[in-house]
Amino acid sequence: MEELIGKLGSMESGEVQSRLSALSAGPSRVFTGRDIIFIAVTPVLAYGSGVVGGLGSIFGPILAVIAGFMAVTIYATRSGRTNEPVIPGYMFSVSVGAGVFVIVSSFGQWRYAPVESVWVLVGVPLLNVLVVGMFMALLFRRRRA
Amino acid sequence: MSDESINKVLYPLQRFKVMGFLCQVEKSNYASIGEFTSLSITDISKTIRVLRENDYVMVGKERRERYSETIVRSTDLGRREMAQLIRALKKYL
Repeated sequence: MEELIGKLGSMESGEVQSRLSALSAGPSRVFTGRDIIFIAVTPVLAYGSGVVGGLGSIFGPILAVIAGFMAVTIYATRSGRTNEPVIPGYMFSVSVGAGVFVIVSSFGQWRYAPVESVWVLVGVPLLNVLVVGMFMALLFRRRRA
Repeated sequence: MSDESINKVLYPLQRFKVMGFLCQVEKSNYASIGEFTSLSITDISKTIRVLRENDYVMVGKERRERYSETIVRSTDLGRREMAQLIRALKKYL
């Protein structure tokens, strides 16, 4: 151990730099066709559920539940993959939170339907897209080793 | 630099490379470890054995189509120790 400390002590920053650069960059994520469909459809469903709910259709909350489940499914299908960057365990809670937000928001739109203001009808569901988008950005962001 | 900040198990280059890679992925197989670290299967095997003895990695088998393959994943302890070693090395920069 003392030998090792001695060796480190005599190290120049260039040697340390080369040691640290020996760390591989790590693999990138692989997106299958199914992944891309889920990633593309979930925000569309989340938005559509708000608008349809605002128009007074029961399909609004139903679409929101589907979008919520899809958010959790995206997390479940991405975690635990071989040779893919780590996804922290707390992302499960984030996916559930995003799903619940979409359901509550769309249910609210449906409950107060018909929404008279066009801005509220098309604007509030954008929050769903924002929340789902933030969830995906967190899920797929590159984490430092 | 204190004794605690230097991990003599993880410091050797091969172990450093393998553990550095395993800390970045959920789990991996020997072929991919070899691809990303440029080490031979023999070297990887020896390295993994040492890391496993120190509870820095877990080794298991998973079925892939008709064959089973060896899967390696880093433990919480391994990730903590690796992060500590990298922090210690960065002090020299």
